[in-house]
This record gives sequence, C-alpha cells and structure tokens, in this order.
Amino acid sequence: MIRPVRGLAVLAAFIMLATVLLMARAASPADDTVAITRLINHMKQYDGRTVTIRGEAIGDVMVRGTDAWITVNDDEYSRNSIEEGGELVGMSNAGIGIWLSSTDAEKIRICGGYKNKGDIVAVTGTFNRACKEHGGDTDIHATSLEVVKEGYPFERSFPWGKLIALLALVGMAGGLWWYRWYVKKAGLREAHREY
Amino acid sequence: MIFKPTREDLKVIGQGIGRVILGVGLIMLIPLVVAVVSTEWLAVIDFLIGIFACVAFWLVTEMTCKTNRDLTWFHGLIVASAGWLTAMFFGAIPHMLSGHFKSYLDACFDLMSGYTTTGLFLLQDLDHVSHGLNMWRHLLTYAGGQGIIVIALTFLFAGTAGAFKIYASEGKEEKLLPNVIRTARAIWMISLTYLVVGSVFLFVALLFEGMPAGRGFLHSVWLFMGAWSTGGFAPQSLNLLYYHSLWIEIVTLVIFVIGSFNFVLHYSVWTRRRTEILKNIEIRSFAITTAVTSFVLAIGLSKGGVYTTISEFLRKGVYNLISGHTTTGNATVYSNSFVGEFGFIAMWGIIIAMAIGASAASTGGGFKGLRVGILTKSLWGDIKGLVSPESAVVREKVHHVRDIWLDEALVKGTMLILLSYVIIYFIGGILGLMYGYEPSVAFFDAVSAGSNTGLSTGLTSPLMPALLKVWYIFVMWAGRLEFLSIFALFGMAVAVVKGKRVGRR
Amino acid sequence: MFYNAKHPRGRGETGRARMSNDTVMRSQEASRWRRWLSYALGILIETAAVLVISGLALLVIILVKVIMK
Repeated sequence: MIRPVRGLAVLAAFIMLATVLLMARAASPADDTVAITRLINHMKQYDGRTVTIRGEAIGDVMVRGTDAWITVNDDEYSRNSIEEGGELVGMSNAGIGIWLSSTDAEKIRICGGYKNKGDIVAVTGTFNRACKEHGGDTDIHATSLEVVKEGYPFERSFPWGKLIALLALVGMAGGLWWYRWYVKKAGLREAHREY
Repeated sequence: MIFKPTREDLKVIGQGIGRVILGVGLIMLIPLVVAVVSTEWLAVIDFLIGIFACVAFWLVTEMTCKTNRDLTWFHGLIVASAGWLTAMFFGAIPHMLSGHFKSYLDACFDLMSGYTTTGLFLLQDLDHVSHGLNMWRHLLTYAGGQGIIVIALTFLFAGTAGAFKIYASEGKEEKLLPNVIRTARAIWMISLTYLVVGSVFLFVALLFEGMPAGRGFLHSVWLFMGAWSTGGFAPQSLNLLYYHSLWIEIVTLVIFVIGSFNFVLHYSVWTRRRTEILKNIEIRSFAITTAVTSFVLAIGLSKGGVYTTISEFLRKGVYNLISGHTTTGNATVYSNSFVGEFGFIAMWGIIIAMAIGASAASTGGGFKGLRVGILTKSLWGDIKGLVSPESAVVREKVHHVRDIWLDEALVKGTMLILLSYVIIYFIGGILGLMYGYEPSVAFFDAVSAGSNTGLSTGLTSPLMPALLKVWYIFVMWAGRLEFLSIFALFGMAVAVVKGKRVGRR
Repeated sequence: MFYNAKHPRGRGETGRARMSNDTVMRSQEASRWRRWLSYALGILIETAAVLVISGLALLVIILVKVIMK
C-alpha cells in the first residue's frame, strides 16, 4: 500500500525539481551572462576570464583603425530608460567599455541617448581588471558581438502640465513687468506735475 | 552688541539676491539654445520654465526691495551666501523637470555640487540625458568656477562701490586690477580664452579618437568646462573612462591643473611677470604636496600590484591623484576601484591630496596651497626662533605676487579657516561611519565633498541617507565660500531673532 | 574685453578721440597683437609648468616602484 504512494511522491518531487530548474534556466536570458555590476564588484574573480554580457550600446562608437570602442550598459535604465517613462531605481548607470573589431562595431546601428534606445547587444570576450594594452582600463576585449534587439527612437507624450506652468509663469512675469513700467511712468507723471 | 537688521538692510540684500537670480536665468539661455539646436523640445520647455521663474523672482525683488543704498561688507557677505543658496533652488528647476531626479533634494544636491565645482552627482540615468541638460550641468560648474557673483558683477552691478564687497565674499579676496568690475572682466577674459584654446585641443583629440564631429564638439566644450572649473562633471556615466584615450587624459589633466591656479597668477604670467610661476608660494606648495602624496600613492599601488606599467601609473595613478589634488574629480577608474584596486594606503594618499586642494582665488577648493604655504613657513619660523639666540628676530615671508611678511593675525586667520575645513571633513567622516560605511569610504567621500573635489568611492548615490545629502550640500557650500560668508549668514539669523532693535542710523 | 590701463582703448573717451588718427590705429593694431602674443606665451608657460609638476609626480612613483622591487 505504501509503496505506490512513495513512488508517486518521488515522481512528484522529481517533476517539481525539474520544473524549478527549467524555470531558473529560462529566467536568466543567456545561460552564462554576467551582470556588469557583478564584474565590477568582483574584478579579481573575473580577471582574464571569458564572459558574456548583454545590454544597451550607449553613447558613441569610436572607431580607432581596425578596432573600435563601444560602451554597453546593462542597468535597469538599459531595459526601461527614464526617457521612456522608466522608474527611478536609485542608482547611476552601470556600463563597461568594449574593445572590438570595427567590423563588429559596424553592426550597431543605433546608440542609446536622449532620443534613442540603443541596440541591445550580446558581447562575449575577455574581461580585464586592468588592461595592459589600454593603460590599465577596466574593459572587455570582445571576440563576438551580436545585436539581439534593434534600438528605436523614444516616444514621448506632450507634457501639457508643463506647458500650462510655463504659460502661467510667462503671464506672471509679463504682469510684473507691466506693473513695474506702469509705476515708473506714473511716478514720472507725478514728478512732472509737481514740477 | 548685536543689532537687528533694519528694513533697509533686508531691502539691499533682497535686491542683491534678485540680481544674482536674474544672472542664473540669463545663463540658462545657453542650454536653451543647445536644446533648440538639438531639437530636444521637451528640454526646451524645462529651460523656459526655469528662465521665467528666475525673471519673475527678480521682478518681485526689484519691486519689493527698491532702494538706492549701496552694499556694506555685511550685505556683501549675506548676498554671496544667501545668493548661492537661492541660486541652487532656482537652478534646480530644469534638473527636476527633466525627471532624472528622485526628489528635489537630489536636484538641489547636483546644483550645489555643480556651482561649487564639486562634481558629485545624484542624477540617475545620465547616459540618457538631453544635450540641453548636459550643457546646463557643465555650464553651471563653469560659471560657478569663476563665481556666480563675478558673473553678476560683470553684467548687473556695474559701477557700485559695494561690488567688491560681495566679490570678496565669494572666496576671492584678491583683486587682479584695482577696479573690481575690471577684475571680474579680467577673470572672464582668462577663462574664455582658455575655453576656446582648451576646447579646440579637446575637439581635435576627440575627432582623432573617433568621435563624430557634432557630438565631439559638444563633448569637447563639456569636458573643458568640467575640467577647467575643477568640477569633474563629464557627459557620460563612465566619466573619463568613457573615452579610453591617453591624449584626452593628458589634455584634461593640463586643463584642470591650470584651472586650479590662482587667477592672480594667471594674470601675472600673462601680462607682466613670467617668472612668477617659479617663485609663487602656491606653485611651490602644489609641487611639493603633489610629490609627497604621489609617494604615498606609489607605495599603496606597489603593494596592491594591480597597476604595474608606467602607462598605468600615469593614467590611473597620477591622473586620479592630481585630479583629486586640484579638487577636480575627473576619474579614469570605477568608483569602487578606489577601494578594490587602489587599496587603503593609496586611498589615503588621495584623501590627503583632496584635503589640501588647489590654489586660493581659483576655481578649486580645499585648504588651498597659500594656506599650507603660510602655515609651513610660520612653523619653520618658529623652529628657527627656537634655535636662534634670544635677541634675534626671526621673520618669515611668503611670495605670492609680492612678498608677504607673516604676522600673528595672518597666521591666526589662516589657522581658523584651515581648522574649519578639518572640522567639516571630520564631521562628514563620522556621519558616514555612523551610517555604517567603511572608515576609508566614509572619509574619502566626506573629504571629497568638503574640498569640492567630486571623486567618490560609491557612497554618494541617490540611495544615501537624506541627512548625509543635506550635510554634503552644506559642506560643499561652506567649503567653496570659505566659511566667512556662512558665518555672517548665521550671524544675521541670530540677529533677526535675538538682536536689539536700535536705530542704526 | 580686457581693460589694460596702459592701453588707449581702456581709457574711454581719449581712446575714441584718437581713433580718427591713422597712425595711432595702426599702433593699436600692433599692440593688440603684442597683447595676444603675450597671453599665448603665458598659456605656454603655464602648460609647461603643469607638465613639469605631473612629470615630477610620475618620477616619484617610478622611483618608489624601482626601490620597492
């Protein structure tokens, strides 16, 4: 009597474990992707190791001959920027410089900034705590780059509230200016009359 | 006896503050133009709101505080200290409207940090900020470096004898020329000349390093403004690490060291006495303290073993040390690298450098080379006095444009200011400790704020305790104005409450 | 602009009155050039000073490094 129940229990436990493992696997987007903040906080551990990062190409692509520098951010704002209505999570950006071949760099069409969300890229390469080739910079020398998702221009709704505030202020300043002019003129007239 | 300030006093002060705020509104026109050219229409609205708020405030003060009386010393001090505070509240308007700040306190923190050329920031998602807001951030640190009062003097206070009094209250008691308005203009001439020269060099370097021309131009101007004012702002969150360029690092290094020199020295070297650069006490003091702190840093770095080549020593060691010493705060490493890679000894080397700071009457902060020089010389004199025969009179002098003989009053005054700096560094450090930060981290950021440097180990963030934010705002303000004006403001607050109402005139 | 007490333009009326005189105008032109040359020399001197001080810091670091090895 007991045996089949026990067998069922074992099976159920196994299925549950498998589901949890599968879910955990699905939760991390690419299996061995490392967060940039983790790299920066554990430089010693990752020094010289091959890592994969995934984030938004930001700022500019700076081509230097056959190679190029890009910057990749993987903070909360690279997923949901403040400029597209993202939340303030209470931290600055987390990014890292990537040294890669200029042909790889050419794959990047849009870099993130005020107007655009940059391309989301997955970069694999060697992490350097203090790169000997680049004067001690903390960087990644990429071996491959893949554009995972293309960037796009941010859409913004018109801030009517701000416009109303502006008009109110313009009105106020204008009124004050007029009043000042009026008082001055009246004062002059007064003075003239007295004279 | 303390007298209660009269209605007239308040009017004079109100009028002065109003004009300073009008100055802030006028400076906002430049980021407005940048936002228009970059077609960032929402940022345009933010700046228009800021400008009209300033204009409205000015008109209100012009009407309510109408007076023809000139400023006295006391008024000058109050206008400088209260003017900076008010300028913070108004300047923070475009910051707050941009949506990148969690609270108005955070926006005010960034404003004070900018005006006082500190360079710490609580702005979030810097990498997605508009060109307009970036222009405003850098411009206000450039303007703050020359002195907001200097700006107001140049345009708005022309011809008043009281002008010098507020000018001197801003931590620049030296004059380049006999007339204060001309002094203000000379300061601008020097700064603008360097703006053109420095930006051209940076622009060429940025183009050479692969930046596109349009953004390269904006970045060159911003980097210049951040470096020259010893502010240390940069348009990207990685600061100078963003560029990965030796040339840009060298050019910015030259710019911020020159920016940390005394304006009187610039003027001497540019016009009359070229050899002043060799004789000046501040240059000598700076060279010596740089060598000493480099020594400490070198020991730390050698023990750490992370940076080993000469190129690394220059780009990571010397660059960040001198950036700290000139109270700039441009960094070529991550902020937690100071803890992780530099290590304890090298960190304290930088902390000492930051505490000593730049030259007097410059854009920088800290004790100032002149004070360190005066104190060392006076100490030297004391030692000499001890070993000399009793009848001998030992007197020491320092050379700063002319020879200055040291006397009791000068040394005492110097000591008072130096002590004030030590106290604010110390209180900031203790506060940090109380919130549970590591001692080195707590003191690094506390000294960085008090000396208007802007290097950070990562303590300064939007999530830091509000009390610490308020304290940092206070020390940035007090450190930049060199305490005197702040003492006067507190004195007035006491007078308003407790002073006797006596007919002053 | 910059006001130099020795410079005729800095003196307001006097300077303006002399503007009609051709020779004076030419000498003003020359003195303006001299002035800017003087500033340029000042910038060069200051830059040199910075490089010397930074070099000194680098030298100290290298020396320590060599000694500690």
